[in-house]
Amino acid sequence: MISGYFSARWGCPFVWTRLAIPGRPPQPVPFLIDTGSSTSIVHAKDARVRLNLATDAMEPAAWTPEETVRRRGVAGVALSRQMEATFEFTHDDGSLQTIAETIELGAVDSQQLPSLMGWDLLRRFRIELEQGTGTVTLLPQ
Amino acid sequence: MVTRDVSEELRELEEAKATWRWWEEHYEELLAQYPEQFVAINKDREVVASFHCLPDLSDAMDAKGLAFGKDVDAEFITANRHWRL
Repeated sequence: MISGYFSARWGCPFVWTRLAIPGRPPQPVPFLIDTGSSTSIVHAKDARVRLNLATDAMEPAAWTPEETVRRRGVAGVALSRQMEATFEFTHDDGSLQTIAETIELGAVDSQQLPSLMGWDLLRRFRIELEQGTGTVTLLPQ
Repeated sequence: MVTRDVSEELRELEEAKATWRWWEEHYEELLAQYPEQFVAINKDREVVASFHCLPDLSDAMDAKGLAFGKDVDAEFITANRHWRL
């Protein structure tokens, strides 16, 4: 069982994972649980502050066509950079669960947004959310 | 699922979570002082910089020789608590 929490300032459920991308060691990153997103994305502030990526690496002009993806959301189309990733979840009993997936890196204009854990990861878990009790749990299926 | 010595990793994770809790607990007072800004704090949880955009904060930390993760943490402080992502 992986426990998360409801953020007091946002009122939304978050869960932590250690995220590794090519060339970077795993680092703790908080993700907003977003069942409405088909993919997971680390937005610019977390990419800079937690993964220590240079902001220049978040400019779409620096990305190759092969790694650039276009995603449609309610606010329009956004460009992101797709890369290989490893998510390391720590269960409450101390055991680790490692998932190899891709992740998207948001462009620098995503700097005000939290990182999102989408359905590409969440589909592996049974999810329990209850704000009244502060319950946020991911249970492996 | 694997089991191995994860004490150092757990320590890093707990430290990150503790810092996150500090942001949560001090959000309102930070919002009053630094609305709509990226705020950086050092390990003593003192504000060391604030900017309205991430690249400016990043450049300022680089100029001071401060590394995110190791020396400073940062969050965006906003009165807008609602998203439609």
